[in-house]
Amino acid sequence: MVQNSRKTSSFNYLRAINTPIPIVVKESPKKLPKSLVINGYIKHIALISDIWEINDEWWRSKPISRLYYQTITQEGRQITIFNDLIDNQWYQQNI
Amino acid sequence: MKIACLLITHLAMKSEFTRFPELQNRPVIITQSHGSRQTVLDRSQEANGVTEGMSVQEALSCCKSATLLEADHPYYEETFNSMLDSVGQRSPEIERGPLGCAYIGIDGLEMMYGGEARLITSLIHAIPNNFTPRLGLASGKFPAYIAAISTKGGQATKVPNDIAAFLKRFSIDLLPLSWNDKVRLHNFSIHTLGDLSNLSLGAVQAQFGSLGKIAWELSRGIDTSPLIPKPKEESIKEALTFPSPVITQEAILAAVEILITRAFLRPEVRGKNIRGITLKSNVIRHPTWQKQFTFKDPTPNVKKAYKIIKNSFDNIKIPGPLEDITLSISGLSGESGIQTSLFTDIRKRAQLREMMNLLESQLGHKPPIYQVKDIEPWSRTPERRQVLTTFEP
Repeated sequence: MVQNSRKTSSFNYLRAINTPIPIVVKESPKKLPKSLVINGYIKHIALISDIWEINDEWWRSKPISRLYYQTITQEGRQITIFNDLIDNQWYQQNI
Repeated sequence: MKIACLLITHLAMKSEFTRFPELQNRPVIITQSHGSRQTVLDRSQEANGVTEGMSVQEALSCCKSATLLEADHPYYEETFNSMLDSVGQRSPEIERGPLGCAYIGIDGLEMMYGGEARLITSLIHAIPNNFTPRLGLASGKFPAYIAAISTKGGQATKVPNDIAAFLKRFSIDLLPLSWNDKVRLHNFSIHTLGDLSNLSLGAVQAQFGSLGKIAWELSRGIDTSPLIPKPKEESIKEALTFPSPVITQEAILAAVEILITRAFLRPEVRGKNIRGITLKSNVIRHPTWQKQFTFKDPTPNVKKAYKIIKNSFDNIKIPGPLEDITLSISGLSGESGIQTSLFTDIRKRAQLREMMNLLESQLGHKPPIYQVKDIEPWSRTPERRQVLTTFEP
């Protein structure tokens, strides 16, 4: 009979990358992102180049429902953010 | 085997006198630095009371009027090497000892020179007169060295057949032993080689082990250590003198590029790989500056060689304005290609594993090295696509 080695399972060594980073977003009256605060700096959004929605893992206790915005700031930087439609929080995430 | 020991005492001082004849007959002290401590490397006869190894402050208190010179080791090495090259034209078997000392194999050369006396004269004449070389002849290196020490400058001494009798009056301080062992020998009232040779081998060995056996044999003139001649290395040199002294990195690198290109165009270098480059330069009011660059892989490529030197230059401190620059290429190899492994992946993994083990032993825990692994690359949720896992080569 094989004894339990009591070693930590190798699964614990897996570390998620590209996890969403909470950010502060100022919204326009139409509920679209107007400006963001990243690392304490305010970035004004010049253009929203794309919008898409993800609804996934609906069978889990914590389903995923996000509305992604591909934005371009006034400095010309491309930043992807999303609004978590479940807790209504804003996050930044690389795609 | 017949061995001649060539000994040039105070080589550093004599080299400086050759370079600066105006210093002759004056008290001169050559200093060298050991971190923040400065000690005496060599001194002229006129520097009374000063001894080698003394601190500079102490030396100056003994001889206030002395002129201080900073040791120029590359210059002394070059001077000695050029002498050995000259001796090398008389005998091909030369083993280089410490600076100023070399052993020359002279077996069979008497016939060529018409006798031993002529051969000795020829060897002494290979060295410039002002260096007053001493020559000792014996059947082993140690007795030859002792004979050279006991000789006057510009002369030679041949050890008689009864070597032990010749050696017995010399101090045991001349033995190649550690300071502590010499002190122990003195504590046993063994002050001369004769005192040591009179003891039985077993008694000496019981106190000093294998080193004691070597010392006992040497005291009896038994030295069976072979003469290991220095391999003849082909060296390519290119030099350039600056119109005015330069200190900027750009100017020095421009000169290096010219020299390296010139050197690689030489027929001796063409088609060969080089293992190292040495840069040497005379610096205003400073000792000679020398820097050696050794390549990890021998290269036949001038651009690659220049790039290695250029990248290293950021960490190099130039001591002062350079008057000239000499580039020497060493380690020429005739390889026309580099053999690669059939199983590069396996070798790389083995090297990585070794590196990880080394890091683990140094850090005391698994090194924080991870690799990115795809787990659900098709996932619509970005954070589900990849994870970081510990790196296991």
